[in-house]
Amino acid sequence: MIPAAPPPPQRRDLLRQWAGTPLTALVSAVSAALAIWAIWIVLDWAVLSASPPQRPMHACAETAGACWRFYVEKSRFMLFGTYPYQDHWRPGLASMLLLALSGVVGLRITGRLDRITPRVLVALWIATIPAAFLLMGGGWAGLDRVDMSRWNGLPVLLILSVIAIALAFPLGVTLAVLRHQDRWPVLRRAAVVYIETMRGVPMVTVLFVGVFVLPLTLPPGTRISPVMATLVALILFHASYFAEDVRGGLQSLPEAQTEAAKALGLTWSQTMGLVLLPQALSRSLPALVNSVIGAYKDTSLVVVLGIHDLTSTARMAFSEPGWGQYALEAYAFVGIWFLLSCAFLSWIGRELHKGQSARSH
Amino acid sequence: MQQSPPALPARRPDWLGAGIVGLALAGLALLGVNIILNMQATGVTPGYGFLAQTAGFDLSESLIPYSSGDSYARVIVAGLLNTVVLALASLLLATIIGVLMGLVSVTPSPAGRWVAILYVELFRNLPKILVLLVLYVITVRGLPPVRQALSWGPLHLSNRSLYLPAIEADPRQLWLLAPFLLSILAAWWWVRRARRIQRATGRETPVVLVAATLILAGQLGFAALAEVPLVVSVPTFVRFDFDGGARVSVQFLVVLVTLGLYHGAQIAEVVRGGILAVPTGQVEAARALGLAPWTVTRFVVLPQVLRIVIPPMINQYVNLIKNTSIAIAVGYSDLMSVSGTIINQTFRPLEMMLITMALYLGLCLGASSLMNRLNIGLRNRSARNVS
Amino acid sequence: MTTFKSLVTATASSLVLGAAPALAGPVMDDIKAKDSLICLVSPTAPGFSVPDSQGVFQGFNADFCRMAAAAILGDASKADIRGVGFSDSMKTIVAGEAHMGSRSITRTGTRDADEGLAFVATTFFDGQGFMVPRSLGVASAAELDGASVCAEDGSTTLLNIADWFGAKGMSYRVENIADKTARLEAFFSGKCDVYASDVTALSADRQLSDTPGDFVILPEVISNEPLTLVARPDQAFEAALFWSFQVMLNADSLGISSANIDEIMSQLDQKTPAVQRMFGADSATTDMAAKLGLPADWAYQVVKQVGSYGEVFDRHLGADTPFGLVRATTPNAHAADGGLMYPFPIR
Repeated sequence: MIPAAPPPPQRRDLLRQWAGTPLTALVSAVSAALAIWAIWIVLDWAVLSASPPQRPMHACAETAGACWRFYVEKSRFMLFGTYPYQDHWRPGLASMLLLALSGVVGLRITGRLDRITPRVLVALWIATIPAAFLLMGGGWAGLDRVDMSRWNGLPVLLILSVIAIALAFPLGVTLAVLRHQDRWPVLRRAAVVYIETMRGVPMVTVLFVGVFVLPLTLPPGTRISPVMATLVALILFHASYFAEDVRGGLQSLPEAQTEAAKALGLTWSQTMGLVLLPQALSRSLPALVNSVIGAYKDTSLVVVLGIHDLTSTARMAFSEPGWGQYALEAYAFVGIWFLLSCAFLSWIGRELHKGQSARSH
Repeated sequence: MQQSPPALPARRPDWLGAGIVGLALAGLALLGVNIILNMQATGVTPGYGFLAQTAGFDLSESLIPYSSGDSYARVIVAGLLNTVVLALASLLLATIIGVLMGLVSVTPSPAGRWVAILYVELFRNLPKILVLLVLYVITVRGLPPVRQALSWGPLHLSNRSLYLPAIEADPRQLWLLAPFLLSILAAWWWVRRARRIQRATGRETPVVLVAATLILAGQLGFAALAEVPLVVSVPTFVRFDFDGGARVSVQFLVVLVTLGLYHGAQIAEVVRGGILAVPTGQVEAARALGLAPWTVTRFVVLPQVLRIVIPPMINQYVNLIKNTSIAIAVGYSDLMSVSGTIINQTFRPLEMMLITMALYLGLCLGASSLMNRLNIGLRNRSARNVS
Repeated sequence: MTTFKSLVTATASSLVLGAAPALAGPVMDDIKAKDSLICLVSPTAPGFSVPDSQGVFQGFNADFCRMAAAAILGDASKADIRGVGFSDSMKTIVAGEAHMGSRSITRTGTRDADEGLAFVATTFFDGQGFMVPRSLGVASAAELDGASVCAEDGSTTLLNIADWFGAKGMSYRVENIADKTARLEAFFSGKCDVYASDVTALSADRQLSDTPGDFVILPEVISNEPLTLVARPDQAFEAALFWSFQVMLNADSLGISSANIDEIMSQLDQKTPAVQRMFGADSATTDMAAKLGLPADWAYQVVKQVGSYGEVFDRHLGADTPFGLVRATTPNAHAADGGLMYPFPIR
């Protein structure tokens, strides 16, 4: 029996001895001053010298601060773009579905909502993805058919991030397993080449290939919509990042586990699927969350391909003649959306870190 | 795991893997055939002959002499060099910011910790393109136009560029390389000698000062001796802009700061994690031995932090190199911007994307293999030191 | 417009145009069967096509989509206007998934030689030019030796300015900025001396400044950009588009607009033969309607629901809009005023 460990020493006192030098004190003073200054500027713009939402648009012309009326007029446009106005409930509902599902998955992996089994989660995914497409596309049960070129704003951002991430995940796990195993060396090598190539090029180049080269690879006369081409490119790109995260988890497992599983007479696929992967996945979750944040934020790069996600509809909102001076308001809308949604993801990451360090003690 | 495992059964050739990969390659080949068919239907044959054609467009900045009359190949090289310079500079800045903020985040002062958390969370949670655009607009509005440039002697700063005096290029300056290399060799010898003395006797010898003096003296001494022309050109204002000297464009600086702040936040997290991972007992033990705080940091904490931090740092550096491609938005003529313009002119998306991806891949793989090698070297050295 | 020349744009066009064989098919029948006319516009071209707060496209180009729907389906609101990038709109039309494009496409020889697309009527004559701050004191582009020029990254503007400055033996420094917000900010704050783009884009972008009066457009125009309607090839459809446009030009020269057309119709017998030939119950236009398969009152519907050419121009680009273009000073003036808008006879 191991004796109970003594309480850990106060880290803070130790750190003070070598990190609390005058230099770092100076750095923190300077950065605190900078932070206060930045907060003051934001406060002044958003509240003190802003024009409140009940005042009409033309009142905004004289104010130096934010024009809140802009949000009353343009919020729906920034969220849904050129989707038919009377049908906005459809992209609204599709977005809610995708957001709710992402929220449930997020809460589930931090250990909440225990009653939802992974099996149910997968079933939810399989139901939600086509539901989102059907809702947006229409053409059934009296819903008007809406062309993909009219899918704009938030739902496109969510489709291209949530769905791309969801579909990239199984591909990433497969690649990680292929790279980790040594049963099929040719497949391992192929996985290495694929992963390293994808991770060695900027996402923009992959998107360009998706939009310019992917259509060329189809038989003559067939067409793929830019949203779908981008989705394919994003899935192939994100998968390589997820693969490396999962491989990190696989590598961290002690060799003895494989040997023990073998000794028990488990086959390779049983060892992998029942013993190694579940542990590797839970170990790689913090890294995966980081990759997901990156993937989600980078989705705004699809602007260069003429796909109008949230960032792009925000730009369109101030390109209408007479609205040009409200660019800052529009960008603030996008910035706050990303800050909030990424804050949720970061929170999941921190919860996972807490959980892991608690487990390791 | 020290013992070698029992003899493995002879490995069978990997038929399944070969089969799957073969099928995948066949699929790719089919797609390739489709590409060629589709291109031929429009009368285009894939090929790289166009690289020798005249580019016909200008760049905002270039490290090598370039004009619109030069070939596409040359403009690609110019774009690549711009990307490399931007990547190197941002790497340095991100590391400095990241290490500083990482240190601040573990200081005892709550203000410092909060500022570090605020900084990291802000930049982790915003898309980098948004950060870039906002910084660009603030900078361009905040700095004065070129006619009201801020001046400190021969130095000028406007919202266009930072203008500096520079030494005019002359082919004879190549001779300076010889004493330069010689003085570096001498400085290296001095450092080795100082280290040997220290290891043998524990006596410290001035290192940095002597090495710097050696390098500088070697340079100037030879320049005077060989009468190599060193004409300093000072930027002067003519009609629209400053002429002469050297310039650093504002868009370069803005992208540099954006990438520095963005990756600085991620590096700060890495550094923080590294510091917190060092067991506190070690620091206590070192203190108990009577070592000074700086010695504890230098010889106990830092080597371990480095070992934990370097692999994720390499990852960050590779990401940073790829993220330089956002520079296109604000007019820095990097590789991505150049290749986009060429695609638009030559209608050769396939060939140009292959070149662009290969170049980025080369940069990233080159950088990561170089850093991995350095890392292994570092580990070996510290292992030697321990033994 | 430079937007359609940007990065993603012209790129795939030459690869795609003519990829599928053009079926001189019954485009008209398809429009009538769907009871909707699919018309592609640029997603963000202020003044030409940009969505309003409800996501409905408004602008000069969008109105030509409405013109086609009014003429063929009798209802301008039956135009299904979609904002699509340049190369994708070409592909979509060639693949038969859209009926027409009204998106500031420059009609060029090689583009016209491609199958699967028909250029119909030039609705706008544009060209690339330069804009400078008034304070620079420059009256002609010939004085710009050594200047910094802002232009869209990847656009043909980059080539045109390189050619132009090269031919004049003048030096310049380019600021090739991809993002429009950043590019305009660079120009307005003096980071570059000159802004190069299409002349209409220049006057549109000038309005985004806090002080539009501080910037002048120089007289030199360095390229010709005839911006033309594009249709899926179909003789009847092309004729319907072309002549609807001519109705708008004729209405313009006869002083007829959506505001006074009902009044004119009520006393049609007192009007000139030219007016009667356009709007009469048994006239040239009803004759055309029978042959092309249009509603008998198509000419009236075009003017009533969309307006005359001058009306559409003034509504979206004219003196009362943020663009403040004076039509008489552009090449788009009526032929009688020395412009290029020449109404063909309807008889």
